[in-house]
Amino acid sequence: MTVDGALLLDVDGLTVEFNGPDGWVRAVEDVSFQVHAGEIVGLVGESGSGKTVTSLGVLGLTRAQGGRMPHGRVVFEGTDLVTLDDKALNRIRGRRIGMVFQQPIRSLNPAFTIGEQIAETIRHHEGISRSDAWARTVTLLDKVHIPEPAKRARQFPHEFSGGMCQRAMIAMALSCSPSLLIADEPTTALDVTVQAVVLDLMREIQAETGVAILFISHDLGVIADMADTVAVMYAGQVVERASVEELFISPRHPYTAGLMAAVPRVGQGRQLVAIEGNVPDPGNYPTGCRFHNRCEHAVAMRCDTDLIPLLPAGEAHDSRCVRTSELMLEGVVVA
Amino acid sequence: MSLLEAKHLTKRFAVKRNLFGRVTEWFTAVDDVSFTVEQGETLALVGESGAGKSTTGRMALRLIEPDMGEVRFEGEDLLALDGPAMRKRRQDMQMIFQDPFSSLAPHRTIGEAVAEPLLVHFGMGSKERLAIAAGLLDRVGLSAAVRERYPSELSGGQLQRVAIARALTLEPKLIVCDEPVAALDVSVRAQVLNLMHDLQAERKLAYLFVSHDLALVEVIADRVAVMSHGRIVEEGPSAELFRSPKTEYTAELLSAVPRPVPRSLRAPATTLG
Repeated sequence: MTVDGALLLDVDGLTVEFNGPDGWVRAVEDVSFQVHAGEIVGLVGESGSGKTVTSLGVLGLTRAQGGRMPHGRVVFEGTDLVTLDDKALNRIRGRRIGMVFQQPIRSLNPAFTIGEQIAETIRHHEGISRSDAWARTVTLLDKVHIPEPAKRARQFPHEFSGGMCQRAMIAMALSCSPSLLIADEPTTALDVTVQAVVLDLMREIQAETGVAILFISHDLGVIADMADTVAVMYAGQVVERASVEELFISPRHPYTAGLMAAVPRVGQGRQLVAIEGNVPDPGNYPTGCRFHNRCEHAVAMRCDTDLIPLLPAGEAHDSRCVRTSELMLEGVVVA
Repeated sequence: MSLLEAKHLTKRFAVKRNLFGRVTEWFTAVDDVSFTVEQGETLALVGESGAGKSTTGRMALRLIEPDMGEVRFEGEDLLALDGPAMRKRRQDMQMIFQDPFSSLAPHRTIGEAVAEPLLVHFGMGSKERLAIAAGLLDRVGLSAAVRERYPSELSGGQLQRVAIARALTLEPKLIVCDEPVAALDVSVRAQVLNLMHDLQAERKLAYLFVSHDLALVEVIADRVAVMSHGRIVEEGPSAELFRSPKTEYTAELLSAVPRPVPRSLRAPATTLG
């Protein structure tokens, strides 16, 4: 899909710090990416890469977690969310920006029925009557393909399977027709066949409503399946940004290429190509390129000294690697 | 003679009991499951959550007693063994779990943890034990400094290497691996799988590999048994099963695996063979 929608979300230089035993630790540094109307942007990275912190930063939820944002702007529909107070943010969260998280059962209140919780969200944001909110709730549950929606709306979260819960969460996230949906590992806790159904549903709803999605996942397969453009994160930074096709055909950052080689693929044979070493912890990032001590292409004095900016690596393609133009990296071979 | 032979394994768990403690409702977790594992090969048990694969894996080691069926290890009927005889047999069969942290004692150093089975089984002296542990930790790619550390100081990938080293101390013939890399990051996962593969070739180890991840199973397994609702619905050599699945269920599972190829660049999906 080509993206021609208007700029919806512009994250620019987002930096988030948390207070640890040894002072402030920078969990996310200088993260920039854009989401256009109707676009699905994938944020991919391993655990500790900063993808969830980034999404919390976008939502203004880092303060509640004891974090601070020394730099960065998060411009959503023309307003810088960083400058807003909680009251103003609450009018945007849930209404203009919907959220879906990994563990639907933890985001739902066990003491209320599914329908009550969705209707409550609608009433909170739009102040419409109980009966109107309930009618819309049933329509929404039907839209996410929950069978017998009027009956299921009266059931409690524990009566829903994991996949059904996630559908209900998607219905709730969409209840006020947001322009942006943030989905943080929405299918990670689900079985693979259920995951496929939920991903299909999200795609269908995206096409129908035109909602933009910031899709966060550690799974390259899911990202390839869903995203139009992708930002790859490593050790708190975006290390590569490109369209999904560009990224998977010709990755320009050694970490991205390494991740692709490390994913088991059908018909690949017995030996996987591993990336040596471990993901560094926040606060212990190596100087220079944060990937250099695991990178087979690293060169002393060039990769391990200065902070490396995102460099242009093609049309609408950036890579945080000083050797980008010299390296020939292999992507996913397309049959 | 197969290394491990499981016949008609069945396990049911009580769901409901009446006032007098009599069971009124059963859940059959594993239903008449049979398979073999040969020396030096990997059999993968795959399926979705609740399919009964973990219960089957544990029954193979008699960590869960089957209600019905038979488990033979090198021809010997495991279920007929008494406590001491079974304990002796366990030297040949080890297990690795998904979460290595919870399977290691937090107050014991890594070196001690890896050496412990040698004390339990052979009453071996401390020096000798630790020397063997050091060799194994080295083999799984951990530096000497790791020996003095505690589990909380290591990363997930390092801990899984420790779990592998510990499983190897008694030189087993079979290791049951229950989702051994499911909790690891992609880049680290490949390291651990490659290590397991090398160790298998080097020691003629057999793996019974329990996993929900089909893409992974194709890489690691010689043969695959697909489980659903407590039964094996399809079994065959890995390459064959992935090329032309014979049951609808396997085909569906395969098609549900997200492939790391963008949607717009995909070849049309392969059909049921």
